[in-house]
Amino acid sequence: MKRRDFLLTSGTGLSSLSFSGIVNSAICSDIPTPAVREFTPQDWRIIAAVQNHLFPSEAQAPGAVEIQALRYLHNYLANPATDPEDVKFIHSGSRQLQQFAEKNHSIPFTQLSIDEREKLLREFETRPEGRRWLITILNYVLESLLTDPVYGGNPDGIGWQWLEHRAGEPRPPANKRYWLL
Amino acid sequence: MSYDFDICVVGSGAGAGPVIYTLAHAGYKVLVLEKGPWYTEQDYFKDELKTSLRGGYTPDLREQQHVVELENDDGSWRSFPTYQSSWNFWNGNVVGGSSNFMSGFFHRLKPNDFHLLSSYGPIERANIVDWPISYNDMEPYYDKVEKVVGVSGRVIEHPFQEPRSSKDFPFPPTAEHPLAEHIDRACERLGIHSMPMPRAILSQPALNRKACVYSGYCGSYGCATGAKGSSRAALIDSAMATGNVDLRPHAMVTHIHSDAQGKVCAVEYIDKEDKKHAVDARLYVVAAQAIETSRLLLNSTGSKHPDGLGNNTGQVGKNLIFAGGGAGSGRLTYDKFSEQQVTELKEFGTFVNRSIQDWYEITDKDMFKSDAPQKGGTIDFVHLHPNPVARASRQTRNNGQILWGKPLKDRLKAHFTGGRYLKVEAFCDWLPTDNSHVSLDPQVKDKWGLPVAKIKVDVHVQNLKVGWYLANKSADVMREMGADNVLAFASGVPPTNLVAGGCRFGIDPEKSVLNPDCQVHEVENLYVTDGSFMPTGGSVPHTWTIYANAFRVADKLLERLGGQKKQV
Repeated sequence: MKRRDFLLTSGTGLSSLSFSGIVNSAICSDIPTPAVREFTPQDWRIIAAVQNHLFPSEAQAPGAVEIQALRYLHNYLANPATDPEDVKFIHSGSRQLQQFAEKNHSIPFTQLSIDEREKLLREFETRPEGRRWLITILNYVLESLLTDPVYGGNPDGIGWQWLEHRAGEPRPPANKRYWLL
Repeated sequence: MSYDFDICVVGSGAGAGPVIYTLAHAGYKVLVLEKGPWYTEQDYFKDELKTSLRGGYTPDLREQQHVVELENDDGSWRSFPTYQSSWNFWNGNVVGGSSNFMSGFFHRLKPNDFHLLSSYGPIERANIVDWPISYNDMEPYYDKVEKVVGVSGRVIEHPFQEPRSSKDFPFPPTAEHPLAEHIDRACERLGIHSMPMPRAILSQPALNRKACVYSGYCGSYGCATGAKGSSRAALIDSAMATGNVDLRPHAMVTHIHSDAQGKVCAVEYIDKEDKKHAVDARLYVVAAQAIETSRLLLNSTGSKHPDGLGNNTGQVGKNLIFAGGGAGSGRLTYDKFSEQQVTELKEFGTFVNRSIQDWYEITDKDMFKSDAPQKGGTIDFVHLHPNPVARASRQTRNNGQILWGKPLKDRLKAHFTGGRYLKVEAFCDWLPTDNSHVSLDPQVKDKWGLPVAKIKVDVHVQNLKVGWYLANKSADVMREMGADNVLAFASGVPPTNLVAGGCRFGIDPEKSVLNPDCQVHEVENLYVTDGSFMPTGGSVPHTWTIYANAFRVADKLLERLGGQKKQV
């Protein structure tokens, strides 16, 4: 399957967790690292669900969906400049969480209620590996909230506006993003 | 005998720039070997990912790293490679070195810093010595840095104001944030002298460079206007214009070869395409920042230097120092101030620029169990670093649990919008000891197969005592200002961006690597001009002293080469 077909297919049936971000980035970004091709649609779904739990949308404040956290993370993981170890770590963490959910609840993480997700993630947090994974996922959410929109998150500076943060000038242009300089 | 160049300089940071500048302007042919890329003002953006989160100006730790050795609570030692940790000892491998990314908080050392041992006496377990030169020898070069690199500020009288040959700074202070006035008023009430902090930043266009535009992102960031006095903007650009400099970026020096007499005969480097080259020169200068300078000398063995170049008395890498001290912060919560004051506090871009040096010397029997004055330090007040991702990440810590969901979002909102933060950086001597040094790691190698530097870090208890003293004083000022959440503490963690020593200068070859001219005792055509020379570091950031000393040594090199060449 070609990468673009895979990504388009993976977007189907996910109305609440729009994958349009990933589709867009598939069209415009470079060829992804081999490691990111290991991610299945289910992996992306669970990562998106965790992002939304850690950083929920509110009427007055953007959440993971509005800041395009999934697209941002995908761009990062698909970037050839990214350490393959980081990609593997995100991937294996999502698999461990899936197994952990099915062992404890016999259903996938994405089908759990909000309260069940909270309880499960707090249990997952007590494992050193789980804790490290959650910190990492949350950290990329915060990057998506507050780094320059040129990197795919924080669309139109939505995160900056929410936190009344002023970006510095000059801002990085697309042809001078960090791995291109 | 003919040489490729008059002088070959390894590195291009604050220790290299003055040599390059002085000799190029005097008409000599200078080769500069810099392992990083050559960025200009057009390449520096306010990009937190590039600058801070992705290590965009430092080597990939998978390819080039260090090994750190730290003491455990029980007195044993553990070591680990930095790739497997959150440590990173690289500080800017680009043309101009880490001076591109400095904040430019510029303080001179005081006269007593040049003879710490005679002034304050010995301290157990600390290798304190007097410098082989005095403040008077260095003063003309501090003055030169003010004029050539560009230092802005305003001299005020205070108990530890050092002697100056120029009455005031050549450039007025940079624009000040209203926080400065809050600090001044609090200090006035407490009877403390708050002083404008000198900055290596141009407050007005001068020296063929633009003035600061107050972007709000200065320290850790490359300057997009050239106002910051980096070695590149202030010295190398001007040296390049003479036509006498051949600057080769992406040139990793792997070995300095020495001949049967022990003199340097060639420098070997690898270029971007992994091709090996060798060059020679009449004189050689190493200025690769303290840790890498020691590592390069230790890796450069030769028939007369079996344990490393200039290391026949085993001194190379010894007595590595950092900047000791403490840190603190407080918040001026908006709901405690008037609408007018809040509008002022929200001002963006200008600098806090306040320092206190009233405790550069401390007499406090309770703290130090002695009536004798102790060497103290400097308190600098600055903005909380604006990097938003770093600030947000810190809000996720919650008594051992990760904070997430709505509670995290509420805390983020309060942190970013509820008040103005003030930060303190306190500087004191990081005392040199037998357990603070650089050696070659026996196992870990870089991508070229060379042993990496192993950095052993030892924290002397005196650093912590002085650090606590200064931190507590800074907390008093913040409380007097009406700040909330006041937090201040001493730190035993070495600031990896403030490192010096390893090749201390001195009279006795048994106890030092360099002579008073920063020439390697055993190698008459080799000099070291970065912060490696410092036997003790003073209670301020090192950069101004590194610049000044490199200008001083540049004059020695110029004299040796035959003085200013006549223009043809």
